[in-house]
Amino acid sequence: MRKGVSCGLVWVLCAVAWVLCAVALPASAQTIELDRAELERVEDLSESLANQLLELSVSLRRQDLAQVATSFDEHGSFYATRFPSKARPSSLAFKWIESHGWELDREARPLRRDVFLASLEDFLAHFTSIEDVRFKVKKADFELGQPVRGEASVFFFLIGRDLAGHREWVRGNIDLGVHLGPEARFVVDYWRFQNIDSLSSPQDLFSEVSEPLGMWEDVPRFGVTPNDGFVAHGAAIGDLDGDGLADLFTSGVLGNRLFLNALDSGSTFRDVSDETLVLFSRQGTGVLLVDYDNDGDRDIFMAAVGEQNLLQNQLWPSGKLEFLDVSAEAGVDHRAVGFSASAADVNGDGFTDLYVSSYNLYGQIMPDSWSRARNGTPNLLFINQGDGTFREEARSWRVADRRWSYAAAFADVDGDGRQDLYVANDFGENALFMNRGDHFEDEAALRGVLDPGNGMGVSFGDYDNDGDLDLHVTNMSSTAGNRILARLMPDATADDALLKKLAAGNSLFENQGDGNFVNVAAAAGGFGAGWAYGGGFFDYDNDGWEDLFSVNGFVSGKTMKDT
Amino acid sequence: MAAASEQEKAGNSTYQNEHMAQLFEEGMSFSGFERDALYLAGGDGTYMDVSGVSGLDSISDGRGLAFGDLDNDGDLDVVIVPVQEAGRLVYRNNVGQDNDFVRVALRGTRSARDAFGAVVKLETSRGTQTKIKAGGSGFLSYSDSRLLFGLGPEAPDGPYTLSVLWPSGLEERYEVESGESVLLVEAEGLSKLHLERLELPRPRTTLERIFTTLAVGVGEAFPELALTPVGANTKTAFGVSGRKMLVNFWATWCVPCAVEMPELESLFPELEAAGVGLVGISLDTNMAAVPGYLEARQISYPNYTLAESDFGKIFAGASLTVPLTLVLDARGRVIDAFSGWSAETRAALEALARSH
Repeated sequence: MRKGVSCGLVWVLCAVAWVLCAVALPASAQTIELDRAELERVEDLSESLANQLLELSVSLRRQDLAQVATSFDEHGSFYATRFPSKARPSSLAFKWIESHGWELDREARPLRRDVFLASLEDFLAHFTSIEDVRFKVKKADFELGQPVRGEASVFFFLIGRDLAGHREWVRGNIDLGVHLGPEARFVVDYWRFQNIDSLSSPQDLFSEVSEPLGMWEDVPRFGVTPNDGFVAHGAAIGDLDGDGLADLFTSGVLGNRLFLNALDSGSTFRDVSDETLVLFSRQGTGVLLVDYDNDGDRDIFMAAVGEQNLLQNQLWPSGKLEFLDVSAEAGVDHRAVGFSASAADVNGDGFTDLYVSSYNLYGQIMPDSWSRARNGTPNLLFINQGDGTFREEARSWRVADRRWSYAAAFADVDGDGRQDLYVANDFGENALFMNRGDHFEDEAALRGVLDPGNGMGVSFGDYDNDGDLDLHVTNMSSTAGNRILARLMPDATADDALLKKLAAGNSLFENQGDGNFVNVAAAAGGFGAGWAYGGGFFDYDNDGWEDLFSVNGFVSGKTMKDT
Repeated sequence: MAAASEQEKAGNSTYQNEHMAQLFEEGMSFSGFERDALYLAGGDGTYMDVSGVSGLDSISDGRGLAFGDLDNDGDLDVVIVPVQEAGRLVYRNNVGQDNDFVRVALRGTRSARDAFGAVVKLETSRGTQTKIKAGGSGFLSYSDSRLLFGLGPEAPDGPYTLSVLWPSGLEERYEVESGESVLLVEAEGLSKLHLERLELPRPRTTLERIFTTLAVGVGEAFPELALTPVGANTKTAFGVSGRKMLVNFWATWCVPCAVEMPELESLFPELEAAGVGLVGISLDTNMAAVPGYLEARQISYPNYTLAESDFGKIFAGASLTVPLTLVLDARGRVIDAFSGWSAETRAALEALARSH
């Protein structure tokens, strides 16, 4: 039994171990053991510096310069390069996105606080509104003398609207020197901008329209009943009533909800959850729109924690948009801790089969390993019998994986005409099940897609337009919260490769043309997308190249302070 | 009986969940406030992080994510299902539709009707794009299965070769032109889809957003409120006062209010001279704290406290969005609102002072 797993979050433990690993080089468990006391002290200091910088972020976002000033010595001076006040000319980086630099002081020099803050004020005068400001500690080192001194690499960003009303994103890196002053607050000794630049969009690329579209709905804060489950919030887009318009189905704490697209009648989206009966079926997680009976309308398959759900669309032949719960008759009411649902015809009989990625009841049952857990619940494979029923055959197809699976996707990656299956697991390695006609064989190791880490989301697309399908997997990358979690979980052991990889974030695997893959995430620029869940390929600007988007964030609390 | 040791408690899952729940209850964050990440393909194998400039970078704790063309304008809009706060977030793609595209829908006949796993290639003089019709992707989600192929701002000369490899093994080739939406039926042929281009609503303006949280609307009379004057200031008429009026709602616990109030104070003489009234209304339930707070900040414009029973006359929901400044016309009707201090607010108020 592990001592100190007091916050009950597995992902977190891995993250913690990663932090320890990064701090103590060489990263052997022994070194960590020896240096624990000092490490903890350093972690505590890093954490309190990170939190003080968060306060600074918040006061800057509010443009509360009096509060900002408290991080700087009122009387003395400190070495600094000033905030830039002069923007360099913009140039077009991509269609709809411009970039520009800023004039920076060449060298840091001793500055009084008021001079430094005046430069900040000049800098802020470039913005009519500010949506977000962050100072994030990327790396910190402390000397435990009197006083305690520290050096940190800090990533800075500001998102706001410039004087022309354009959305602008300023990014910079700051070398920061601090010492621990009175009341355990850090005081700045030096502040050097390494670089700073901006992206701006002359036209808003995206606008949030949930509320005017009738899609906004208040959801209780996470942790408050009934919103105390972990990750049961899915989405599906597709035409369900046969009018050629994309409708929307969502699952989760608000229940199974169906919204029909009524934009063609001058209206927005219409909530028909009640009248179409979807509201009254068991609450689902992962959603699929699938015509399992090949009758011409889309039915709904929902993975679920409990019994799996199949809702048959009555549009054909009765003409009525109503969903009949046929889970039991169709034989899909098997129990699982189902998350994502995926579909393809795995045996080539012309009927769509279904796969459920199954997790486990986290909290009641803990993974037996943080890097190679095998005590999840078995994934399910429902083979469509062609008569409206399914048979669960995951074992004979050898895909009854028990590795706490989160998501899966089908694609024929080796061009043999059969649908292969990639499965992302939360606590360790993923699977690439190659379809052999009557069973699957896991060749993830052989084909370079083990992707150790916390796999959350899977999608296939051709990122380099070379004619084959590449693979994108969302993962968790380390964030500021890790430091405190290190304190909560002191006996977490660094587990080498897996833990180091956690820093990398999402993976992009390039298909070599034969179903063998190489992770090109780093070469492509890196996708440290935080604690990522859904995501994948998405050519948002229609330029013919697949862009990538992923959503992230585990739980935002009332304060930005992590744990 | 001896109390369970910390170690025993830590290994107990019920304890873990309770401890966890407690942390969330206290409002702690776990990797919270992360901005969603958008990476723009450079076309050379590299990607550029454009999250912060995209407007798609919400800080919500997203889980499910689906892409789809909700308004049939030829680009992918985005639906996110977060774990808390918002039931769903919908993002309108404002730009993709300005580039050219081809849209392809598939229907299997020998293959299953859904034809999941079918691979479609669009070949133009600039190269070949390849997409799969996915039976679910990402996390818990299913995106629009009509495949959109972007062609950039100036589509290459058509026609283009469209090929599809059906799950049955059948491979077919067709010709398409830029701007076309087509349905391919396996072994039966291609038909053109005529999709009416629709419009998603425009986003709410800042002003509209403010008013969605309020019980009063633009053009409506400012309500009668149970107010208690703070200190020696005189009673101000909120009804037909014959002059424009700024009513600033604030509270001692509201951090941005502390920024805003001295700014209002500095504008007070100018507003007075212009014949524009300014009053503050505190939403503190501990009214005893109010006079000292005002005194410490040398706020001289008239201030009141508001009976809690009347909060609902101003705010629509349980949350009090402060700071809030309502602008009333000479007849006591609400005509405008500001939330929080910014350069914009200052400019607007200065303009208000000048206009009289």
